[in-house]
Amino acid sequence: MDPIPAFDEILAGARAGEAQAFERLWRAFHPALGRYFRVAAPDAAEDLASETWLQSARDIRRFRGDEHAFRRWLFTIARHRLLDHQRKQRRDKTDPVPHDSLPESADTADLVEERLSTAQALALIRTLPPAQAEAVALRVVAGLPVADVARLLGKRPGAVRVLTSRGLRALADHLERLRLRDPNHEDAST
Amino acid sequence: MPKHRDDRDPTEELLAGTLPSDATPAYDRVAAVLRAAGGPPSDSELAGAETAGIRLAAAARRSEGSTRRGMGMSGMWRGIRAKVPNVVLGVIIGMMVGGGAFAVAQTVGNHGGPNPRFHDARVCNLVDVDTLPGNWTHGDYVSAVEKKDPSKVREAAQSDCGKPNKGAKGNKGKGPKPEKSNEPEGKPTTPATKKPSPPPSPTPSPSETVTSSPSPEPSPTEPTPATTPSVPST
Repeated sequence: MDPIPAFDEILAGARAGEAQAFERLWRAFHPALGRYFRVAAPDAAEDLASETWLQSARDIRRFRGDEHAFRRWLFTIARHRLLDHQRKQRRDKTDPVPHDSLPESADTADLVEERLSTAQALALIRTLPPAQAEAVALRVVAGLPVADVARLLGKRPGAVRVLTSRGLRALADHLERLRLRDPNHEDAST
Repeated sequence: MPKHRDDRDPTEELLAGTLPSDATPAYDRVAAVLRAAGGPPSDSELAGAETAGIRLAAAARRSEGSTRRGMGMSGMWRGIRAKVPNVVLGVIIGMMVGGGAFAVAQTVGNHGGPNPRFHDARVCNLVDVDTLPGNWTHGDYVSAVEKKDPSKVREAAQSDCGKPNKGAKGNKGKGPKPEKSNEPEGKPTTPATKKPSPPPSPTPSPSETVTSSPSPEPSPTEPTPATTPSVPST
């Protein structure tokens, strides 16, 4: 993830309540935030992203730090919103709404040729057990290092590494099964 | 994605978008998935950025305003402390503490409290009540009797001497307690108004004396109403 030019100025503008500064922050971080929620809570991704942004806007005057700290701060808020949402779901006993079609028919040729869409990639990550999926999403989508993910998830860095590693292995197995199911897998593998 | 110190781990390399040299073909596909998941934002993901910026800025400004308005008690105290010099605050607190101490001193100094008590010398004749201090209490009276003649303590304790007169506040103001009856508790009692009234008598009957406040001038010969011995009050 490329560093945001003049991040400090943008942050100062956002603290002063400038719409343009918030727009630039939103452009820089919203795609990652949205993708994280599309993995962790696809049924409420948009709502949770909005709540996260509103909370960050309300608290931005209290934030101190650089771009990396802001990313960590934003995703900490995001995870809190996610936990609230999951708690509410358990209380209301509502089943998650099915989201994007899972890539049961992911075209192996697309994978090889890297024409996989972001939505398909996120849907593939979502097939993992929730803890693994979240760890992978925070590493890959949010771009957070192990230490930050560990702090966010309340785990040790070693546990996060194990989660991620197992998640990637499971993803590899899943993709292999898809490839074998693909009638053109012989062609695709060549 | 920024590289981290643990990037030599194959998993970390994969997460960073590079394929480890010893990776199997399956991991090649995983790398493709991860690249797609962390790829550049699409136009649809960035749609509405301008509106979002305006709304977030408005939310930030609203929050700023509400933070300033809703200071709460601690904020109010900080505001007062910032405006009021320490000397003035000290004087105010001193006056408050001094006033309280003065009130306490007033209450303590007035022995027996402000409420009138039964001090009739013709009834309370076991000691010279003129020697008792100020608005002397039942306890003062009993103690004085005990000092003078211990054998009359019981009689003194059963008297109304020093007890608050009727009309005063609280339990003390209810006057001497009525004589304890032997009826079991909870049993409905006949209201006093329904009792057949005795023939008019120039002297009140004992029962009337019990239920009413001590008469200012009871006959010295009539029996003193039996009351529960109370703890000497101060």
